[in-house]
This record gives sequence, C-alpha cells and structure tokens, in this order.
Amino acid sequence: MTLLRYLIKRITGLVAVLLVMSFIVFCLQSIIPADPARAMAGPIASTATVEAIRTQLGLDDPVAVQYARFLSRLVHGDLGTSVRTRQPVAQDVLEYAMPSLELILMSTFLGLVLAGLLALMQQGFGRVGVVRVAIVSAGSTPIFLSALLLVYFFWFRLGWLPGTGRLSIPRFSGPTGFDLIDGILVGAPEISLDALRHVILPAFALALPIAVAVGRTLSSSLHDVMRQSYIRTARGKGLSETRVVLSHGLRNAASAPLAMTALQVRLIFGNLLIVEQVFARPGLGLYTVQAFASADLPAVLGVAMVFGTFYILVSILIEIGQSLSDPRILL
Amino acid sequence: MSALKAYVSAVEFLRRAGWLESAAIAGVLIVTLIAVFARWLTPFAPDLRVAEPYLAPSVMHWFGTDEIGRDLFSRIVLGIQYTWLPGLAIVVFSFAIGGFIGLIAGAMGGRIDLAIERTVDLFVVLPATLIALAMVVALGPGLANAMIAIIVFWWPVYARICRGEIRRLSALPHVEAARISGVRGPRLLLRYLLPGAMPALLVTATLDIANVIMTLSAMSFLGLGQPAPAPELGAMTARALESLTVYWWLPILPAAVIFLVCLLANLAGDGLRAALRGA
Repeated sequence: MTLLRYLIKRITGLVAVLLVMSFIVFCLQSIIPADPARAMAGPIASTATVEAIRTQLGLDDPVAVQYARFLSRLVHGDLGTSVRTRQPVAQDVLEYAMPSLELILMSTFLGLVLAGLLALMQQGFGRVGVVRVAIVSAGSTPIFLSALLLVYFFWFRLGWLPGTGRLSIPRFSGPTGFDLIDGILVGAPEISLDALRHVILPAFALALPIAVAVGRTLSSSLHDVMRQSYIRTARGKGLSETRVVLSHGLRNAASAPLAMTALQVRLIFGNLLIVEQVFARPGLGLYTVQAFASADLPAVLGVAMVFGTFYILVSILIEIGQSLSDPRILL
Repeated sequence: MSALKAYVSAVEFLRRAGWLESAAIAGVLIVTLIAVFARWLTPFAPDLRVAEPYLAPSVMHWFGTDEIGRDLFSRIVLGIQYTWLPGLAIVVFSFAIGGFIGLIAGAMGGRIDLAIERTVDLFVVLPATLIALAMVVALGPGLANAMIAIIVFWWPVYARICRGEIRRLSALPHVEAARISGVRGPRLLLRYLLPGAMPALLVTATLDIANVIMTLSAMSFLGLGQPAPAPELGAMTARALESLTVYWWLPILPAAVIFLVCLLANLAGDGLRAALRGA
C-alpha cells in the first residue's frame, strides 16, 4: 500500500516536471527573433497576407491556447520539423536514439564498475598523496581532453582500437538498433565484435566522470557504514569479510551513490554531444551538434524534450531503487 | 601581538589545509592575476602572425604555432582570461543570487520558504545542461547568453545550501540569545546568521569553479560560446580538432590548460574545506 501511494506520488511529480519542461521548451520556441508568419510569406508579401498566415498558424491565439496546441502535438509524438534535414524531428531522433542509448548504457555500466574499483582503492590507499591527487585530477579533466587523449594514444599512436565511427562496414541496420546485439541476431558475430571495438573508447571517455563522481560518493558512504555497530555484529557472528562488505556494507551504503548516478545521467547528455563529435560517431549527440551549427531550433528542442523525459524516468527508477535499498526513504 | 596572532592562524590554516592544497590556493590566486593581466603577459602578440604556421613546440615558441602562425602560448595565456574570468563571474553571480534567495527562504520560513524550496527542487530535477544548451541556441550563441543560461540553472545549489545553513544556525544558542535580547530583522540576518553560513557557501563556491569552467568551455567547444577569433580555450580545442593526428599540440594544449586550472581550483576547494571544517 505504501509502495503504491509512493508510486502515485512519484508519477504525479513526473507529470508536473514534464509539464514545466514542455512549457520552458514552448517559451524557447517562441523567442525566435524572426516573425515566423513573415518568414513564411516572404519579404514582398502584403501585410494582409502576413496577417492571414498568422491567423492560419494560430499565432494570434492566446498563449494558453497555443501552449495547449503545442502540448497536444507533443502527446501525439509530433516534435516539429527539422530546419536542416527537412524531416520530422521525431523520425530523426528515432533513427539516432538507439546507437546513443547503446553508448550510454555501456558507459554507465563501465562507469559503475570503475566506481566500485575506485572506491575500494580509496578505502585502501585514500590517504596516499598520489592516489588522492590522481582522483582529483580525474575529476578535473574536461571531457574533450580525455576523449582526445584516448583517440590520440589508443587509435593514432598504438592502433589498438578504432577511433572513429560506429562500425567498419558502411551500412548496417539490424532488428534492435543495438549493433552489439544485432550482429549476433543476424548471424554475423564479427559485426558485434567490430561494434564492441568501436564502442570501447567513447564509452570509456563517458565513463570516467561517472566513475569519479560515483566512486567518491560510494567511498565516503562505505567509510561511514563500515564503522556502524551492525557491521561489527556481522563480523562478530562469523560472516566472511566478502559477505560483510557486499550484503551488509554495500547495501546500506548504496543510497547516496545511487542518487549521484541519477545526477550523472543528467550530465551525460552534455558529454555525449562532445564525445560523439570527437569520435565522429553518428548518434543523437552528433545530430544535436549539427543542429547547433545550423541553428536548427526545432531539432534541438525536440532532442531536449526526448532526453529530458528519459532523464526524469531514469531518476525516478533510481529513486525507487534507493527506497528498495533503504526502506526508510519510503516514509 | 596581532602580528603574532595572524602568524599563528596562518600556520594553523596551512596545517589543516595541507601543503599541496595551500599551494593550490596560491595557484588559484596566481591564475586569477594571469587572467586579469593576460594582455601584458603574452610573449608575442596573440592575434598576429609571428612565425611560420604549424611550428612544433620549441624554445622560441613554447607551445608551437597555429594554422596562421600565431604563437599558441600567447593565445593560451590570453585564453586563460577568456575562460577563467567568465567562470569566476558565473560563480559570483550564482553565489549572490542563490545566497540571497536562500537567506530569504531560511529567514522567512512558512509559505515563502516552501515556495522557494519547491522551485529549487524543480530546478534540480530538470535536465539543466540540456535546457541551458537549448536556451543558448534559442537566444543565439555568444558569451553573454552562455553565461546567462548557466547562471539560470546554477543558483539553486547555493540557495539550497544557504537555506539549510540558516535553518541550522537559527537553532543555535548565540542566535537564540541575540533574538531574546531584541536583535531582529536585517541585523540578525547579516550579523548573526550570514557569517555562520559563509564557510559552507565559500567551500561550495571554490569547488564549483572547476565545474563551471568545464561547463562553459564545453559550451564554447560546441560552438555556443565566443565567436571565432577569440582565444577561448574550449573553442580553440574544437577548432583544431582535425589537426589532432598531425599537429597534436593545437587541440591538446588548450584543453590541458583547462585541466590544470580546474585541478588547481579543485585542490584549493579541498584545502579550504579542510581548513574551515569546524572553524
């Protein structure tokens, strides 16, 4: 019952945040300096024609009516038309969403694994100056620097991994859109392997900030938890140290790092733009960067709306995960 | 006597902050000075052709030269000004706006507090980076718009911290005593509450400089910051992206300087936090 009420509360919050976000997007959309009716009619059209188009576009209606119309289009999956590709933004986004989602999932996974290692290292050697400075350094590295260094060393200098694109073959599209899985599904595992080789460097670049932020949070909450009396009890009743750390320590320390993971998902999209640009890797990020260059506002706002919804959903999932790891949060 | 006191407190500060962090605090001050006086510190004219293009780093040109033969070291020194000063300005504005709003929320309580708190919550759950980017595209790229977009989404952190500190301090005996003896209104806020909230805010602000600079330079990298000839470090990196495999110093060195100033700022923040803890 409490869980149900909790879920209802969260979902109401979700809807409210989505409404606010859509309103911001709506406002941004309307501050385009040029008059859209005039732009459509052309420079030599008479004032009467412009007025007619204005009425036709509904630009004379009260703001509330315009916003309601905007919302109903959003709900029907209409994100407007891109100025650059001349295609519906929703269609463009669908085309690029899967490769980016693949990269995001890979890097989040990699980031969390690295965060665990980092937290253990900080627990063991956190007082050692070199380790401390190394961790602060990793947290001070702009994403484009780490991406550039990865490309420079592992692709250009050492030639270990490919540094650009998503695959070595020019065109491939499978049933799920995840190249890693599709290769196996269509019976060509070498494509999956190729996709894996292409995803490692960009995923690593994206994983680094996640690893540092989550690792530091995990380390400090583990540090507090491992000094609690229930840990002493667990040790006292003869549990193995692995068991003590994993099921008594980690579970109780999970809440803060989970919240930090949610925050990092928020930041990952900005980083995705940069990483996909540096690695020339087709995806939602590269699409957005190209939209910036041609001032393609509908595309930018469409992506913002889609990714914003994704982020809000993820943060709610994480919040539910938090309350599962620490039931006190429910109350 | 007061000289001795100053000496003792300086030694105490160094002991708490650690030597590396204290050096970083000095480093942050030096970077600020370099940023302010950059125009007078460049060995060559940063906007003019002074040598052959694409020279590798050498004794004459420490960081080499760029595609039109401008001295990269001089451009980076000036770039520190273009990157560091706007970063500081964003922190100062967010600090002032957020601090003020947090102060009001914490001191007023009741409905105003609730309204402000809900607004801050909303900002925290919105995908801020994305909306800020969209905002810059809508307003048109440029330094001022990039700064405005960042500040709009940056102040809530300060409001939240300041409000929390004010609420915590309000319950402390010295504030209680002041209130009983008839101190109220602005005087109570400015003399009894704000000084107590300062350390937490200052530490947050120092640790924030690196985040702000990385965000701002990322915006410039994406072409949403200052337009072409300005030697902003993130934009310099982006413009030289294609040269990576041939002239590595052109994209790597400006980005490496961003890394260095961010590292200094983060270490300084850690030092300040250690020194002010319990102070």
